[in-house]
Amino acid sequence: MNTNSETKNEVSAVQETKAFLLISALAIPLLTVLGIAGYGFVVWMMQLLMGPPGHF
Amino acid sequence: MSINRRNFLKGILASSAASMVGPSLLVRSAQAAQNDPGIWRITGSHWGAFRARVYGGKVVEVKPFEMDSHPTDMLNGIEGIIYSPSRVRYPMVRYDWYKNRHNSDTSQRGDNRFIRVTWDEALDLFHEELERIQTQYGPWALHAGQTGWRQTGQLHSCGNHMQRAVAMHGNFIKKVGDYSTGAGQTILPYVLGSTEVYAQGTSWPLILENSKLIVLWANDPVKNLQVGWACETHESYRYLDQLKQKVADGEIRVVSIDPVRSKTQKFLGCEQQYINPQTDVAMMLAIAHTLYTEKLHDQKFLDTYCLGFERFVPYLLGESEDKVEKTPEWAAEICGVEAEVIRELARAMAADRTQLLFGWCIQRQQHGEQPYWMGAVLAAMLGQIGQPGGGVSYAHHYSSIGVPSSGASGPGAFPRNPDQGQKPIHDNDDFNGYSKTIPVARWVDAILEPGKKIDYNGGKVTLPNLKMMVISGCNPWHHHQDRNRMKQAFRNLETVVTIDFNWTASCRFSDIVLPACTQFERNDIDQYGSYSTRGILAMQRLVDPLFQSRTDFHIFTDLCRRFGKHKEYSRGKGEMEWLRELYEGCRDANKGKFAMPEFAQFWDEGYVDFGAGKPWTRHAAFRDDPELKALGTPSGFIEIFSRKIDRYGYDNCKGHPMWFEKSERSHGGPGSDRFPLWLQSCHPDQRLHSQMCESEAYRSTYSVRGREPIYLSPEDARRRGIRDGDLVRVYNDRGQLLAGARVTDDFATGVVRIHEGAWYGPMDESIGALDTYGDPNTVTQDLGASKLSQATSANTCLVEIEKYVGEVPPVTAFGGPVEVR
Amino acid sequence: MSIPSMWKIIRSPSTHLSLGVLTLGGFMAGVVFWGAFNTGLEATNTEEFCISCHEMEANVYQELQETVHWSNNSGVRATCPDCHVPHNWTDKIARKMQASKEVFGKLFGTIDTREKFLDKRLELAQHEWQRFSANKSLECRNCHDYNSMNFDNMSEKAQVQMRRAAERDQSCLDCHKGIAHELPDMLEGVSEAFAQLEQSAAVSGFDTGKTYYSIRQLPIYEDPQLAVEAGQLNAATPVKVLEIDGDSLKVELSGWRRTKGFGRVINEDFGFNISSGHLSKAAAQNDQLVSGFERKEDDMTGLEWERINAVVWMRAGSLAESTEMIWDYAKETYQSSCSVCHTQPDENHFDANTWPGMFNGMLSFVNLDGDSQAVILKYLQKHSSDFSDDKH
Repeated sequence: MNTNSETKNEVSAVQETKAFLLISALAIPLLTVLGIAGYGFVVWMMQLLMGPPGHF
Repeated sequence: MSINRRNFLKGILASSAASMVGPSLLVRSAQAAQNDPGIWRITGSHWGAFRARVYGGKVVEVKPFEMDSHPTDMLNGIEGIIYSPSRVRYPMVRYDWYKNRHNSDTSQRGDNRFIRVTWDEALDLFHEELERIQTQYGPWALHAGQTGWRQTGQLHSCGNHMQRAVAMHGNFIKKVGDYSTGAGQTILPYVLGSTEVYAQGTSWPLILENSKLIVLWANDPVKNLQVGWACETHESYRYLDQLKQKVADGEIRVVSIDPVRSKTQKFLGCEQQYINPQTDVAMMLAIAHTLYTEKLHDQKFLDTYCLGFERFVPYLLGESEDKVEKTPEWAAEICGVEAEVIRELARAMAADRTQLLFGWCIQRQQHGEQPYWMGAVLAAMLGQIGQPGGGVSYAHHYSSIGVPSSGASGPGAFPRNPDQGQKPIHDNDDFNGYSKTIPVARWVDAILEPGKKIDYNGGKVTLPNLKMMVISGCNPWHHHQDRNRMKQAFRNLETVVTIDFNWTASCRFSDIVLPACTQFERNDIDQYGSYSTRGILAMQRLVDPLFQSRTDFHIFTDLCRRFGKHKEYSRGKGEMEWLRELYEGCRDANKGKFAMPEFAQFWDEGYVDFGAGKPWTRHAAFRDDPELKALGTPSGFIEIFSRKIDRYGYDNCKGHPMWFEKSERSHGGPGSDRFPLWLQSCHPDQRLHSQMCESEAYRSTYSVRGREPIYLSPEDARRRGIRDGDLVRVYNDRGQLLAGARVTDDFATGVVRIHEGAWYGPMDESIGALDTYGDPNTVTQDLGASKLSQATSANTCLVEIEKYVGEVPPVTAFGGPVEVR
Repeated sequence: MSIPSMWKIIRSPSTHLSLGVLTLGGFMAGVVFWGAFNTGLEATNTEEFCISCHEMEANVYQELQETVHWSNNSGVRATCPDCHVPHNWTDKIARKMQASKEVFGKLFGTIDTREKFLDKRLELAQHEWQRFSANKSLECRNCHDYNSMNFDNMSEKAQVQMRRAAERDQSCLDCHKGIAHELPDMLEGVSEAFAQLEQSAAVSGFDTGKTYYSIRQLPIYEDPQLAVEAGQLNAATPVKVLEIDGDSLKVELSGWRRTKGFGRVINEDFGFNISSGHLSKAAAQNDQLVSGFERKEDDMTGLEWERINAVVWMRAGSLAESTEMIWDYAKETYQSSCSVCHTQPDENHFDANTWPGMFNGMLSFVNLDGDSQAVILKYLQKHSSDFSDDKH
């Protein structure tokens, strides 16, 4: 019998909450921003090659 | 330097920002003597820019603008224009026309009986007539194209207002050319590649420095430079002063070739060379003959810069055309000048730098193109065209030409044409086979002989069937010839509308007369210095419009209201907004070159000075590089022989200058047996054409027995028993007039003069009635100068004079209409 | 907690946190994030932000305040982002990335002095002009719409131009360059009115074999480096592009010249004094540049003329595809400048060779710059009686 309530395959509520907060408040926002930035960058590069947007 | 940019929609911003009205532009008076009550204002006129003191709502004193170094005596007549008994006070309609409209008894025109109407009624009638003419006839029946000297001021330039408004209603007949230089401006483009007569000329300083001989050929600058197209400051006179000194010192020889001892000749103290009237071309041909036979001409110049000399020489030598050699002996007979004198003059011209200066009177005669053409040929033979102080000028007597231009831009004007995209109410552009544009001096021919085809400048003109005329900014019953013929013609017109501020003879012969105000009763802007563009002048309103007179702007806005176009006509802007805009436009054009203050500051200070310009030589660029700076002639060179004119096949204007006998000529010429005296009707000494004749007090300084003076020689006076101050009747087959005799030995036997612009005041409306005041155009002939220019031939006129005995009729030229109630 | 264990937690299904908590929490986090993101993004889209850089505040911001987009009678104001930040989201994001260039510029002071700014003004302006040109002035259309325009309220002149623009759904900036900031000084020495004409009519791309028209008087050269002067092209002269070499064009000028003299003046056609341009003495006599063909005598003067072709180089600019806008400008200027004292003569009142004489005589009365004079004279000649069937 282990004195540690967490085994290798067991996750505590605290850990999960931390992880949840980490993802939702930090990681995903950061990744989203990077993603949007990357998207913007790619579009910008395409505009340099193909000229300013004129598809209207 | 970046451009502060406005797009061309700037009108939106300008009109929203420029809503300033009068009160904020109250003028701070330029404080003169504190003793004199009233306020001082600044304004200008054709006679000069000046300051005026206004007290009790009236102009009480006029003094020259300080930039005017040689103000004219005529400033004394300004008040008399404003307060003339001839002021058009109310809208007036000719009595019979009021009753019967276009079916009126037109033989009554000239009886001067009018009925007063309200402005609304007058404008309604005006509009209705325009409507009727456009619908019943067409654009070919309406002549609204006549122009004249109007008053100074770019905003209220009245002809612009009238033509813009009428053009917004319908199309009309226009004119080409003018009475001032009709023949000259038509021939000179063929010869020298430019109209020349309205172009800046070689600067006076260069003439004074370089010329050794100046020939004033039929030219009286001291008389004519008193008036100018813009607000004059008479800068030419300081140079004439210098010239006078040089003549006295023997540095420059000046010869005035003139039948009359002119004002200029007397002022300069120079030589006068008498010549029989209308024979100038013969004398010039003889000079050319001398130059050629004595090998004094510049062959190299002729080869390099001219075309056709070799086709002209045979004429000179008597080998072509009339087969008469143009020797000085031949000319002496015609001109009344000794052959040896002609030779001597030719040699003097060729000996050193010679400046030829022609006046305009010489081309206001039959074959008026010839003296100018021949003058250019002489100058070409002398080979000095394009050199400072050499060559030929046709305009040094006009509006400060010869004073170097500052290079600044002057203000624009109220637009004459409707705005882009505007279509007239009656868009009919079908002139029914008639010409849309006629030579200016042939309008009476049109009324009398509609449909007649005449030659004009290489083409044909079909004279239109005129039914209505609108007259503004000019006085056809002054500038046109043969009054009795005009009376006959006017019986064929259905409606005549005149807009003027004083009751001229044109008003007298109209059906509807609208009272405009003088330039002194409105705010305006103009440049001063005329051709020197020395500065911009604020023309501040002196007094309010007298009686019921209005600005032309107001009149025509209201006319346009009647067909719903008043907003488009005025662009929705008032007087001060327009002024501001014209000023700002001028300021923009001068940006970077001449600094101009804000409008409010300009208006308050009264003027902006641009300083003096740099001396310049006419035709120098052409002389320097005839290829790149070619003249505007067909070949680019000076055309002594013009193939183009030759091909027209005219009998009175051929491929090169020629001597043509006149239809009437004194001193042994045709008609001189019946009427021996040549009547010269040159520009007046104390008026601007007919403007200022109505200034009573001023007129009395020169009138004789209340009439226009006629100048004649002691010999002619003696033969007819006439003494100085007598009343005389001047007559020929065309008409008769009364004038006051001025006997003076400035005039040779056979030469008489009445200044044009004397107001026509016939005893009654009948054809042949005696003119009571002395209008020379009562007796002149209405004949086109030639098929080329169809210009006025006023100075081809012979008369006889007799002492007038019998009941003396009163002068009827002034005082307005006889009001019928 | 270590990263591997963190990762394991993230990978596995939730043990303790309910579905509701996760979804709601994630949703709220997303909302908060998106709000914060956009707030942050929009903060960079405010006038305040833009002018926080001195370069902007001291230069273009000052200029804006003199214009109708700052203050007007309806009180509607446009600020920096309204025009300069694309409203379309994708393009906006792209522009934000592009703004890294501006950050770079700020850090390294590329336009931190007035002089540096003025030097770069043209380049910066051209970026914006290209952007507006490509999307037909889309940013303008956030407020302005042709369908909402009341043309009747406009001045006559404006109505003509605006209706035409509306028909073609034209890009606003084609004509309205300089509406919010001062124009770059690319047309030195050219009058403002002419500058407008140039902006509206000049094309930026050329095709070989096509004919273009000079908008004003332009220098021509013997070489593609544009170093050796060969003369000058007159306004409204047709030239055919033979070759394009970077910023230079090799063009062919056809015409006739008089054989008397050096043969420098090239006229449009035989016997017509309608100037196409002139050559330098050297160029005019150079067989490599000028080829001569048949010769004829002009009956009107007795002088001999020769047909020629000149091949020269010029800068690739100030050329229009047609004479339409040039003649519009000329006609309007003629009508207003030449009707001050009298009604201007109809264009077809004189023939082409008479116009120079009449025109020269009247120049004292008008304030026209050299280019305007050249273009108006040519307009008159090309619409003179020689080219018009209209009865007069």
